[in-house]
Amino acid sequence: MNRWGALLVWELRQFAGNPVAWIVLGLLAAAMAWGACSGASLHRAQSQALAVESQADAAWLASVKERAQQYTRPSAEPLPYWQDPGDVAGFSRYFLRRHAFKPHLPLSPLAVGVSDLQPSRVPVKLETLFGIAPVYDFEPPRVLMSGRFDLGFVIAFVMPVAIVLLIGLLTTFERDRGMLRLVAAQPISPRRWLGIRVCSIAAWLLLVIALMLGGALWLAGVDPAAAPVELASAMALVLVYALFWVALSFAVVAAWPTAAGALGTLAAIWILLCLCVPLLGSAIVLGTVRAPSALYRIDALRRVTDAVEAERQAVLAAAFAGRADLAPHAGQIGRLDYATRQTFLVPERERRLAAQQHAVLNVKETRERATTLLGFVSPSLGVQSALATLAGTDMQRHRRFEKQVRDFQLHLRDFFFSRIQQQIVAPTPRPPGSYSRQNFSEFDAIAHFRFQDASAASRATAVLPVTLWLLALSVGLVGIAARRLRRWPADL
Amino acid sequence: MRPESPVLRLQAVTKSFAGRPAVDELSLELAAGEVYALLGPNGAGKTTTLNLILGFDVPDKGTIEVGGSCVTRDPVAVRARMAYLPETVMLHPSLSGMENLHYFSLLGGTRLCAAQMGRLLTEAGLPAAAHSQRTAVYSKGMRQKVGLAIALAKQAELLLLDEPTSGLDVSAANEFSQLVRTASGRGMAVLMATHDLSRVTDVAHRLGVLRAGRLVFESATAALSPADLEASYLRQIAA
Repeated sequence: MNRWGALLVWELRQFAGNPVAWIVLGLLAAAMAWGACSGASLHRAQSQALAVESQADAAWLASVKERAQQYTRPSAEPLPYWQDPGDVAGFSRYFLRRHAFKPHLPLSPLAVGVSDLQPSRVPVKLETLFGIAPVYDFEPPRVLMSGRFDLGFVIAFVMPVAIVLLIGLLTTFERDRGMLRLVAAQPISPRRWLGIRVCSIAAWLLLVIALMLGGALWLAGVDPAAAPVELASAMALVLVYALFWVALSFAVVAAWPTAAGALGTLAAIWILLCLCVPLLGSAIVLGTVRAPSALYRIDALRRVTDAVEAERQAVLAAAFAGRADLAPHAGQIGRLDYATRQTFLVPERERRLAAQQHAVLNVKETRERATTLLGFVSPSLGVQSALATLAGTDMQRHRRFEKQVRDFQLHLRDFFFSRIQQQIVAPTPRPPGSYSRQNFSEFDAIAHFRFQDASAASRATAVLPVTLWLLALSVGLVGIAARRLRRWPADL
Repeated sequence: MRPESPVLRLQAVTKSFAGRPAVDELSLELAAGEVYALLGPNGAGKTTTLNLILGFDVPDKGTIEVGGSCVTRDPVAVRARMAYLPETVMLHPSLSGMENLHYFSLLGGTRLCAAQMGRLLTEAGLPAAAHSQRTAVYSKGMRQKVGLAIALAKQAELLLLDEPTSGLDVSAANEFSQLVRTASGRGMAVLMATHDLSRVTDVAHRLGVLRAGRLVFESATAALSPADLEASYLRQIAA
């Protein structure tokens, strides 16, 4: 082994025997374990809720089928359509119960993401405008306000604190103790001396962080074989993020500050990158990309609903006139039941609110794009978003889910609206002596929602730009450190 | 003793800070085994001279050579040929004297086995019982002995001492003088910046007095009695 290799081994041994280093890393390990378990516990509860809801849907359908069967028995009693599961209009309005579920991915304990802010189970109703009713309440507001302590949070915000603390303390010791003059008098360049020290700390940090991450995910019950691509990407991302903070700390300590000076500077940088940039960026995005307010949207919804209701006759007449099969039956307009009327009025309400909905979606997309860009300015934000992407708890996956929910709703509308409107053209004759209308019995033909997830490779590809950007920043910061380390400090 | 092929050569070295000369046209030569005492009041330029020789600072004018190699051209390589003991030798407190010697040997580019390190520490005057003790419990004198062992381990040609006996009691200072003589006896050139006039006549072959960065007086110590030295020194710094 050459001289520098021997020195590196010596430094590695010093780190291994340093109690301060292990106390800091021990605290980080505890935080990671806690964060992973916290996220896993939330996601277990959410997955259980999905399973319960799915069973309830199945149980409800079984009970509805049973009632429909009962109502086929002959009876003189009339049965209103809203109580009749065998009436297609009544069923679609009062009996249809379908949920869309967004299941968790195997790596979900990595980050809670928006999984506690956005619903992962959505009731799909034919009349809900644009697919998803903006009403859900999964968690107490106090928990939502304080945010979840999850593994992603620990990695993005706590891990950098541990890294800067260790590098700040372990590289400034000689300067603070007055040893640096004796060190500088040896035949070693400042670049090599501090470089070897930082390399040894980085080697330990990267090894221990990789083990901690694996251990935390194991503790959270993640099966590595279930998501090998995402796990490898997460590992690479976390290690590159750790490397970024090592390189940043290296660039700071290369200016030969004291421990207090180094830690003060690094704390200021942490506050700037982890708190100020996201808050400022968020304020700028919210201030410049303005969405119609919730009050305005509710007001518009009420106005449109009232207007469509007031113009109901005209709307229905226009709908009938516009279709060759319905036009000859315009005389029935006044006798249509509520559910059948809605098959014409709901699309009309959506048509009138489409521009506003489009504007709201545009604003959301613009804000999300801005947040993605902000992730390149604030590495902590970028890493948190990337971890959520790999965990499947990100906003992009949720948007995909929302879009598929809307597609599913439109599919259900096609299924039911065509059958309901067919009853205007050619009503099924009521069976003599039956309670029920019996114009609908295709309960098992009703589609189920199946979330089509993006592939593991596409999730890994999505986090690649942030990973490469952090790697490039790290290389740049090491370059800055190397430039600063051309000389020993002037005030040795 | 006059240097034939000097280990250290300073030629018209000048260094100024904010326009004020700290070292002014300083020329000096030291031969192998020679001990030179650089005297002067605070601010006379002694530490700046040492910094220039160590390559921590770059002279504005003039050249500095150690063993024929220019310090400014390749300070790292030149530092392999010299050893330096600051006024207060600070070591890793959680490590033993032996471990500190191991570390500084690695920095100095020499790899020693435990037996060699023990021998060097003993040669530097550190009792064997202290070799494995943490240096947090060492006295200043003991730390200086480890510093000297570090210098001996490097097999340096030139030893630079900055106020080496400051803060030492009489017995430790005497012991240190003996160690300097030992180093000199091994062929090491020693440049010692000091205020301690009594120690100068004891160990140095030559002395020079710096005032405002200029070498205003130079003499062989053998030519001066302690009383003459003190009188000359006071006269020079008062002038």
